[in-house]
Amino acid sequence: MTNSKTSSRSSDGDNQTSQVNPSPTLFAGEQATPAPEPQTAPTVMPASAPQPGDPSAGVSLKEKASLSEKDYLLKLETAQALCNAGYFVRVNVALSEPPLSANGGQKLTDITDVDVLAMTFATDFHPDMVCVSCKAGSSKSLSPIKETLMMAGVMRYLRAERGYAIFADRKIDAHMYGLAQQLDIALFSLEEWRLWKSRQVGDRPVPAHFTADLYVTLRELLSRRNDLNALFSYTRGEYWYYRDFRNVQNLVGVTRHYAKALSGTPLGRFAFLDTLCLFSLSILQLCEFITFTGASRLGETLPPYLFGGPSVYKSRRDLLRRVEEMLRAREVLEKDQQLPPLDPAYLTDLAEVVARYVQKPVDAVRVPHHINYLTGLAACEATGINVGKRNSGESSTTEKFAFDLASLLAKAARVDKDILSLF
Amino acid sequence: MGTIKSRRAGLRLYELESAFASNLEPTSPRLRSYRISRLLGQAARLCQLIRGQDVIEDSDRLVAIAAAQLKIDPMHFDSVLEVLKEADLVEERRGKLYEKVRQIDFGENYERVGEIWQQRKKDAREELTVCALDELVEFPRLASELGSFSGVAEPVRKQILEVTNNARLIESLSVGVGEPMLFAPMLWDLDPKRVSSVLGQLGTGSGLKQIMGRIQGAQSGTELSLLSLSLQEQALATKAVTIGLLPTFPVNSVGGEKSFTFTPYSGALITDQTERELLGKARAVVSCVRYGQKYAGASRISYPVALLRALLDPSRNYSLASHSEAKQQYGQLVLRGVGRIVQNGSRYVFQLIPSEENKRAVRLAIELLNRNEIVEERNLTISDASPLSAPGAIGNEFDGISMAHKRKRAGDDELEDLVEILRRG
Repeated sequence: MTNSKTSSRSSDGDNQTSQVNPSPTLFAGEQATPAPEPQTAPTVMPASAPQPGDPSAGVSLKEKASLSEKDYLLKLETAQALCNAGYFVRVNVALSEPPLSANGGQKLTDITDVDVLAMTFATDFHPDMVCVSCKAGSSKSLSPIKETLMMAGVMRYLRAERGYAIFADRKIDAHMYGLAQQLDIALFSLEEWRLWKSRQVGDRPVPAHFTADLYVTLRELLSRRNDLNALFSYTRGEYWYYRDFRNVQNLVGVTRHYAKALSGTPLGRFAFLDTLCLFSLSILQLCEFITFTGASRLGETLPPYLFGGPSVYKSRRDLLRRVEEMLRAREVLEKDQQLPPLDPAYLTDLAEVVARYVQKPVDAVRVPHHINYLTGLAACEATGINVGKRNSGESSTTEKFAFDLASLLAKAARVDKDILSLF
Repeated sequence: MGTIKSRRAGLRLYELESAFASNLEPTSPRLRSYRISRLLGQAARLCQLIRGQDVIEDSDRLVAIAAAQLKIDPMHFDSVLEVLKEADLVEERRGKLYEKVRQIDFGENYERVGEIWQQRKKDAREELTVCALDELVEFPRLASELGSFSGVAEPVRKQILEVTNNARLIESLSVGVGEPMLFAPMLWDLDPKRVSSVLGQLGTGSGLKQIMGRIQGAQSGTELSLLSLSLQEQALATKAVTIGLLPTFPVNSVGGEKSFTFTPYSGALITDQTERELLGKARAVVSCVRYGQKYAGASRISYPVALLRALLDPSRNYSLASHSEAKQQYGQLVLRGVGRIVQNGSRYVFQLIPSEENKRAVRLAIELLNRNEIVEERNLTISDASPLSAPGAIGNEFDGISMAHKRKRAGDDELEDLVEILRRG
């Protein structure tokens, strides 16, 4: 977790090893620890992934990356461990205010961010969320107590039930563990973190973009694609601010806005799949609502959900009717013309997808994980780094559900169908 | 030749293929004129078979099941599959078949198949057959009354009637003197001879056709008293009910005795007594639910489909929640062996006897409820609507649009963008 006001101070100068040692290791005098090997299916690692201590692998890029993001190796290894254990994982989730004005002005800076956010879903689509804060530095300004209390607030904001705060090179006072535990946060020293990682063994493969080489190269490539900046800004921050019904329509709208930039290039495909990951989270949230309000009432409850509930839905319909009357009176609309219906054109397709998900929740709740894995494949494609395995290990039904969702988003956002080639 | 909407065309193709597959030799030379319709009919039937499967990993197994259950010749299976791909109801991905059959609006599957049928070049005879069948599923008619047959040469008519008669898709019924009446057996779940005798008694020009049209236009399980029939029509409807032409189910509980009438069209060829009983059970279930919707003394049924789904739920022990009126309201279902009444203090619980037949009856009842279902508008409180509909805030924005388009017709894209603002809030 990084405070926007303190993040640079907390890391600067603490993580000097990355500047001294050409190999990306976590801490001074230590060899980088590879991700744990899963018990059955091997972790997907790019063929050219750097081995710990290999000085030849992408040094300049990594040095560059370490200057802007000191804790990234710690984050990536944590992300890998959580992926192995079956979580859907995102790194660097920003908590920020969306633009305050319609033209995008008066945007507040990021308040803080979650270094690693991991989620799993129960079969009633209820999410179990874990926030992780990764601190590689040893600065005295890095205070475990402050970090713990801030993390507790962030967890409350994100409705996360558990948190882990890792202080790899900072002493944690003994009394701090008990305090953090009462806030549902586990504090990890480097040794404790290693033990925790060794326990996170599972048979789930890791999306390739959580490996160091790809992560750094991808960041470099994305920094050159200005046309996708705003999309990533949305998926990194604003999406998490409105984590409710709004995200379904907003994500479609945002994707539609960038439709042209998304098709045709591997990096565009990566951006589409990354957005699709978030779309899948929103759909699972919708499925939770449908499960709790009755699957048989889907046709009745889905349209109001998209607008925030029956009363808002009704008022919007009323408003639409009045707008139509006004436009007709002012002869903007001719007699044979009508405004399009309020319900989005993709409503029926959305209902079909949701109906299928609700019927087979065991497969549906794994959709974000599968899409995340495919996002890793797209990242490989974009960076030119080979991958040994194309199979995410998910069930055929999960794969199909992910395809259904991708088709829905591509159609609704008018993205070229070639975007579906990875499915 | 008459025109037919694609959704109806798809339904007729399904019925045509069902009848042909059951009653005709697949190699009969007469069937050469029905190649396109049979292919698309098979596609419509395959849709129903794979519905809800999501992924079909073993397509060879599907070929075998389709051959055994739907009599789809394995040699032509790929062509049937191609139709489903063209209709975007199936997609092949990495050696697996992804099923995309629409679940919410199942009728859309028929519509897509029907659209393809309309676009394809067909034999005139198959087109005539489908259009004639579409007229006959509404009401029996004389051949000379069929719009589809108007101007069609006699030999062609004869050939069509011969094939459809052999397939039991269309039957000729004698109604006394003159030419026989053409009748689609799917229209009634009565014995054709009985239908013939009834039609002979009532006469085809008696206005019965109009009454049936009104019943078809209403929700399934409607009350004749709510259809605003004239006195003469009421008398005729009563007679049709008495002689079994209009299936009607009485329910008696605290709201007094009420009768619920159904359209005689079943959408399937009823071939034996078991199927007829099953349909009767389903209609009885619908009648009881309709009664609970309209006439229950306490806590009326708001979501009939949800209620019936609960009845199929093993985790609820196939039971509805206890209700003081359940004993009377569902009494008819007890008599028909659909369920039992369990006393729970001063209230009663209706519990389904979970045999396969009863579960099928409830599923069929759900389908009957969904057809022509009138979606009830909720009474919503709109106390928070005022800020959204305040003319000042919104009006100025649209004034600008109005001025900009004063001399220009608003484009579809512009209107779409406008509504997008409302959608996303």
